[in-house]
Amino acid sequence: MKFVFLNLSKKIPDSFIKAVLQTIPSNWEVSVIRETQGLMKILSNANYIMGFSVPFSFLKSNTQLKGFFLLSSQVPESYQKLNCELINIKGLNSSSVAQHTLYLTMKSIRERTLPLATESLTLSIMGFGHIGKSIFDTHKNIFSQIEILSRQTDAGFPLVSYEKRETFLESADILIIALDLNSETKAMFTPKSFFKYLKRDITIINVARGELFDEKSLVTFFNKNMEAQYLTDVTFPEPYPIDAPLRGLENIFITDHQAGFNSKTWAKTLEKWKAIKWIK
Amino acid sequence: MKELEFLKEILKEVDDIYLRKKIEEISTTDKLIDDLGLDSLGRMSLLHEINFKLKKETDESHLNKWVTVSDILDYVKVQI
Repeated sequence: MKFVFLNLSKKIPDSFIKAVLQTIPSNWEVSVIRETQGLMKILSNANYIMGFSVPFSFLKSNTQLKGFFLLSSQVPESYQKLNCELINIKGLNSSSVAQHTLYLTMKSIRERTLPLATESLTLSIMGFGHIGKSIFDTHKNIFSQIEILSRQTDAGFPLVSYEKRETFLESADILIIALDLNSETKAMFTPKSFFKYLKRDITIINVARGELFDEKSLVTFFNKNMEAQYLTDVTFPEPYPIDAPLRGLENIFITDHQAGFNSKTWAKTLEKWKAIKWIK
Repeated sequence: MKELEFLKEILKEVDDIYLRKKIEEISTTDKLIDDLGLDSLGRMSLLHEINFKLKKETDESHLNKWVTVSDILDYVKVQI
């Protein structure tokens, strides 16, 4: 068997990689990949892969792939075409993402000459999956007015349906985006379907995916509305270039896709890895 | 230019190569990194998709020569 550990972002702690490698059967061939050079060839005949997702093109010609352990809570839509077992860490990193979101929220309201009073703000959360729920839990004692946009109907309290999205966007003071990336959600963030409904001084916090937004639309909106703020943990591309357009704006704050991981997430991920049958 | 249409067709079919520009607005002089936002994975993915379509083996060494869209079109012209 051939096992490939992908660490292209170089953000995975060595201690985690080492612990995973210790679990691999001794007769398996192991590669730890940190560079894109030669990646296509290496992935073309891998049996098991662990790491962050790579574009589907890298995997489509691999007929021997048995499993991909994704170090993310989302499985790319295109991966459904793969004929292999897909495991992700959905639910394991939601607490860490929620804590990072709280940090971004507090930064947006406290780092001002006159900090805002949370009692008078409407906090709006787009998405109510594992992460959306954790974000709600970490913010509910700070904000008195919270609205959640979701297709779910069984949350136990009122949620805003997609049909009422425009009103939801119009009332948001702080808008947290915790949606999966797919063709439906991507279409929700165009100037006509999104930006035109927003308050001119809105704060947008994105802990979902950078690809949800078109960079040009973001630059246009935040250039025109200097009272508005965009705090994001995700960009497209990643890593986001030093001289890229969003970095030039004072009302935009970027963290380096670090929300999902803290010391506990890595430990939980290792537990999940050890429990799967591939390495038994 | 048929190579540019060929490239745009591939970009429309592949849903995980993200671009800063709309596919229809891509021009031959666009820089792959600065204008289109293609990172190394995206460029490699595109090379593989082109070769997959043309039923050719992927040779990553070509990527070093890709700076603008025009460089990709030159590659496609040779491969066709």
